[in-house]
Amino acid sequence: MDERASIFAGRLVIVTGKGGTGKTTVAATLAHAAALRGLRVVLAEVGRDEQAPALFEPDAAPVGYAGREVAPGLTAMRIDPFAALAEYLGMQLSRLIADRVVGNRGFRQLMTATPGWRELITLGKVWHLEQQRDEAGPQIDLIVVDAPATGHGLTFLDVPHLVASAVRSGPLRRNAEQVERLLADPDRTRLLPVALAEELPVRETQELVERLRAERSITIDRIVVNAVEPDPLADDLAELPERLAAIATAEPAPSIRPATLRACLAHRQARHALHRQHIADLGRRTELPLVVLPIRPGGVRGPDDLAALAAPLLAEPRYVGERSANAAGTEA
Amino acid sequence: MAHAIDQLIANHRILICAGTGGVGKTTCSAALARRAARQGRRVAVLTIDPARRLADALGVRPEDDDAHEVTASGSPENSGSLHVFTLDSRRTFDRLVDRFAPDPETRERILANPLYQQIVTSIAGSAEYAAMERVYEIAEDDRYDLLVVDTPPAEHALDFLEAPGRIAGFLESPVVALLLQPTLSVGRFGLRLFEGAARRVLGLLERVSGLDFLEDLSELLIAIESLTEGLRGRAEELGELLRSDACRFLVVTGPSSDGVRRADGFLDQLLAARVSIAGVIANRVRQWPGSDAELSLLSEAGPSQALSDSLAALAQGLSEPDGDRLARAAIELASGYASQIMLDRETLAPLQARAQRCDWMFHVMPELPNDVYDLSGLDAFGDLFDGA
Repeated sequence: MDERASIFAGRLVIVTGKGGTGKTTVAATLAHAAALRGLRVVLAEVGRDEQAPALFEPDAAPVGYAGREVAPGLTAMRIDPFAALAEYLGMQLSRLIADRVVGNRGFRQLMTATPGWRELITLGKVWHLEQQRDEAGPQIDLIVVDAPATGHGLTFLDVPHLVASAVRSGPLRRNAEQVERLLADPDRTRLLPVALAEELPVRETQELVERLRAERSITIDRIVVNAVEPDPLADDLAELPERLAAIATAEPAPSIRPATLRACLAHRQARHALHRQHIADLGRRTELPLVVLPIRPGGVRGPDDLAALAAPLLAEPRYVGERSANAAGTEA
Repeated sequence: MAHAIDQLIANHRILICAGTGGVGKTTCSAALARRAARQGRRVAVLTIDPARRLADALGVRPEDDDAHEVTASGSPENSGSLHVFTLDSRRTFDRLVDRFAPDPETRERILANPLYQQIVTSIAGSAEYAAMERVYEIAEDDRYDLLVVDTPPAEHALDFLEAPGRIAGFLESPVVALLLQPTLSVGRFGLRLFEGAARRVLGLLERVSGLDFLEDLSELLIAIESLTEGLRGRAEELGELLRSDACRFLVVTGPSSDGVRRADGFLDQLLAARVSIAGVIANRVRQWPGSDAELSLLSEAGPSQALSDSLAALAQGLSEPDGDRLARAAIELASGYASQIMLDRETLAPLQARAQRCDWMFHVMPELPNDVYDLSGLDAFGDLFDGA
């Protein structure tokens, strides 16, 4: 694949999607694959729960804000907004004052109800990680952010822009603008939406893509469709259902009845057809190439599962469904 | 004996379906509501964000939080009705401001504040608060016997339950109390005059945020403060309603380990909040179409004599051409499905055991081969509650 088209070409990949789409799995797979290629990777989770580290080290202690290397070259961390705020204020004032302020109960209550700052400080931390340099250049090659589930109202990525426009002056506005520039830079940052082949996730992904396109606020060059039922008849098995149906019932009763096999097959075929229909719909609506990840029958539980998902995740994204001439042009 | 789910529908005024996103909570809520309406109840369902086709089926237009009566197609024989409400946080808050503002000027000041819109749409728990407010409004309405609530997807059940109290509590915190002093509107000079710890915090905020933001925030808070008494009273009433015997909670989950972990957490939080839990709906659970013996044979790890006998018999049955290859493929496909079934069961087992211990109902709803997108599909889905 062309180097520039590689998902690893930039510095920052923000993985986003509705809850339950397997966003964390995709972020962990991507970070793991990048580290295996020799990149120095930070996998940053945002949210109250740590989920990614368990995919690398079952039952290990939380990695927290300080982070920990969970695989060679791969540091996992959780960006806690209050910890990030203490670090930020510490850089501006002094660490002692910052810790006191952030530990103050009234302050925490005020911040709990104040909109937007969590998202801003979280992205500010990401910006800070991206900026870290030594003599040899950047200290981190790739930052993978497992963004909070997209929901209602403000999304994570809108906040820097909103702050930059709602706050008329001051350091807050400057910081918001820095973050906004990082997000909008196509050479550094990419958004990787994760969808499921279902109606609601498809519609929400379409809405996300349309809005971000209109705002030109971040680059999206592919969409991941996760947990897709593969075609059960793909391996030259088109005749299997009929052949199973044709088995004479007079045969010596096998311990597995052909009817059971047919019912399993029928269910998987129906799920596959449904998924394919939603995938085509997503491709048509977004005009973006898609990366399709097959469902893992045993779930995703550890590094082996991540390794198995890496190949399809890194495969060349493909256009599905009808495409406009414009979208076709960008594929070349 | 009536099904447990029908007793639930018959004996309570409010059913709240809680759970994380992406588990089919909206479909479950709508199916429950339809089922109740078909049994003659006058039902309101408050839904947050239905999939478009389901919304179409229910007759809901986007960006509209008025009630829609669902046409009675498919339920000609009873006197029940179903009204669908969708949630618009902004409008619900606007109505709150309307109701509790002491005078028209305060009302205007709040609605015109640049931070108001962002606060009401993004404040931690604002969607949850708006949902709770709607629950109260609809529950008070005697045109309905039953309200089914599809809660906003939340990380924690408490987001929903605590929202009313949190807003009131927020207004009482010391830093906010200070921001509420009109002196701040004097601006920078006013701020300089402050003393004490909370004031240093404000000074610090001024330095890192810029003063305009603080002024806007302060002005908004001063205006909102006048609503506090109304809001606080409402928060208490809501809490009482949710803890009353008229209200039951259902936790909806999928069969994933993540889903089960979250459902467990939700149940803990609901117990801690002292509301009544009716049970758990495990949705989208794959169903095995064959016998238990077939399931255990196919889901066994590694080859067994029984399996290879089966394979040979099947290959013989399929005969030529290609009987061996097709038999192998058919067994492999069924094995994959069987191991998914076993995984679903294994994943759900602890939750099911917990439900049994606590005397909650535990409903397994199957994964459907198709989406639910019309009323007959919804009714068919609702009929699956029979198979408890």
